Amino acid sequence: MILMKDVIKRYKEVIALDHFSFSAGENEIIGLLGPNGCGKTTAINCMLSILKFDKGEIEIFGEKVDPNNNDIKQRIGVVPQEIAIFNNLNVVENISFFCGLYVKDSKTRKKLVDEAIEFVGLEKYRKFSPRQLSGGMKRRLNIACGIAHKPDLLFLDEPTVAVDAQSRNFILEGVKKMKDNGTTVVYTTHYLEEAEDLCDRLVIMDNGRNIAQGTLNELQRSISTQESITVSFLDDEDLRKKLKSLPNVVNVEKSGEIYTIQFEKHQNNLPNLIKFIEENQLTYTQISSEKPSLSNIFLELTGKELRD
Amino acid sequence: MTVFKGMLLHFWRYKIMVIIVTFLFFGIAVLFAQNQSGEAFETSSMDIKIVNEADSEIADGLIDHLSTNNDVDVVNDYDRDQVVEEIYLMEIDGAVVIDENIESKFVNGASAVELFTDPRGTGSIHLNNEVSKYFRFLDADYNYTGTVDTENTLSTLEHGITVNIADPENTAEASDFEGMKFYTNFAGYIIMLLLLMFIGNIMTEFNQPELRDRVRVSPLKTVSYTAQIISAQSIMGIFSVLILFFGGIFIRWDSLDGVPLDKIFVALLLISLFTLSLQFVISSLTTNKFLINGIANFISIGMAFLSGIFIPEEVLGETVQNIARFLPLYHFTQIYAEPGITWSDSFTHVTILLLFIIVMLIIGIIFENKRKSSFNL
Repeated sequence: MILMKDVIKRYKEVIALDHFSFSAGENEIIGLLGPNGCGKTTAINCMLSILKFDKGEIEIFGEKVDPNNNDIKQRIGVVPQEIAIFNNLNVVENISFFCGLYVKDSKTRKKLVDEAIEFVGLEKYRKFSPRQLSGGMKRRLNIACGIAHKPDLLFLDEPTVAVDAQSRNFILEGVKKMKDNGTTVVYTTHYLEEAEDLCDRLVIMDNGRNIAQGTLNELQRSISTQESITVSFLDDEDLRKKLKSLPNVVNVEKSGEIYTIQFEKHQNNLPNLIKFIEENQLTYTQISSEKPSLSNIFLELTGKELRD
Repeated sequence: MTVFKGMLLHFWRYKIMVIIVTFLFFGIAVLFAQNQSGEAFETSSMDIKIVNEADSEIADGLIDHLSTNNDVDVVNDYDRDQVVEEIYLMEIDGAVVIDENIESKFVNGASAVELFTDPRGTGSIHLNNEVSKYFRFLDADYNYTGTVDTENTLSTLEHGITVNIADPENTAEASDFEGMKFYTNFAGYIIMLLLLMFIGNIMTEFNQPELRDRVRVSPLKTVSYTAQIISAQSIMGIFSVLILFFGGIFIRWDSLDGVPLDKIFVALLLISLFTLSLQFVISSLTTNKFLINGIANFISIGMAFLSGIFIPEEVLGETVQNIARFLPLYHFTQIYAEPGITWSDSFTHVTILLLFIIVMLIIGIIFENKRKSSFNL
């Protein structure tokens, strides 16, 4: 559905996209992850022909993107990062305006507008001006304006920024529903838990480059840390040196009495650790094992926290 | 037609403000129309107290002369302070005290009457004139015949002449034209102000980069988008012209003789088109509402003053008049400058206004393209 190949985009001396490649298949939610300024929005704007790129190829629905290719545009929906609505029009009028850019028939449009309002849960606020809506509701209206014409491909650019928990859940559930209805969603965010929960596949971006892509499992397997065990000891002794001698250990971190031990392979690490505890007659209060999180993946791949 | 309808919907949101401004405009126009009724002459009679201390033909003649067009109260004695107070309180316009020796004083060329008037009022001049006129004619007659003949003097004073004002134009038509000209001048200013402010504010919404991007990613063609924006703006311009043009006709429906309505309509239409093209330039430069409102006021008021909309251009200095010739509002006023103006007389000014519109559109397109290219950085 989307094929982006070796795209380069420069803003004068700054390279925003550096041989960026990326693909998205039908009916999947693909997450574009990266810190602010890594090129997520630039990538989307290039796909949407809002920005001209310097080199590379972009195809959507099997056709090269072009500002004048209205057949492609007709099938795409966009929810921009900034809330882009008319403050002088009410909820219905706003959605109807943006839906009207795609759907000419007024009866069909009216039906689609009603469905979009229901989809984002703004039925009670149909005649409200955006000035009367909360931040979360404005975000929902922003989404409704982008999805009312029922696109096959939807770009959601950080739709949950500065949104309360209730609206956030509403938005995430809505995105899942859209996928169930057959829409492909390109979702950019820097909230890792959202991406873990929502996306079928993930593309991790840094400095305009695609540094890793795949499902969460694939990404977890691609890094050196495969298992992370956290244990809380009651003993005063500093156990870091002893713990590092265990098989497969990559790193040991100590914070108070809690040790975080990272293993490069997922192979009998927990039994080995328990055996070590018994042999050394150590006392522990809790122990837990987990796969590396997206945060760990991102940290290992880029060397920095995602929310930097 | 989504964008077209969206713009009109935005305009509709300003309906209360538009109605208030329109009513204010018509209120002011009606007030000015009442004060622009042209030159008129009125007759008024004075209240005069005459104290006749003499038993004389000259005194009776003076009383008869003053009684012709005034309300005269003749008494035989008086209290000087009381008369002064009555004049001060404007109960009477003046008093004439006729001396008991009027005949001998007249013959000897001495002052025969004493006048009490309020020198601040016009009545003082009139009363002095009337008394002086009577004695001059009486004196002339006396010098010529050697006798005092008040009847002959009074009959001479009754003579008059018919005066026709030597004006080739019909004065009523000229007055009607002046009234409508003033109204149209003001309407031109209001059209500029209204369109610059309201369309300026609407366009700031449409020109927000996020909203423009949303339109750009849609299948709506740029040509179609622009055409819809221009159509909606033109509808608003034409709507304003129709309201102000027919409003003027309604207010002055009985005073339209000699008014070149066709030229006025074209002038209003052209100034609204010029304003829209100017607005295009402004909105391609900024999306700041405060700045747009400031520019709208600065340009419309500035041009209106320099072009003689508020003050007749003759009053303004030569330099200002020379500057005004480079302003569109000046040429707007010149399209209907005379009551009998022909299309060939207006042609130059219509052409200049059209050129102004074209130049503004070209400047607007250049700025708009610069702005679009800045999006693509």
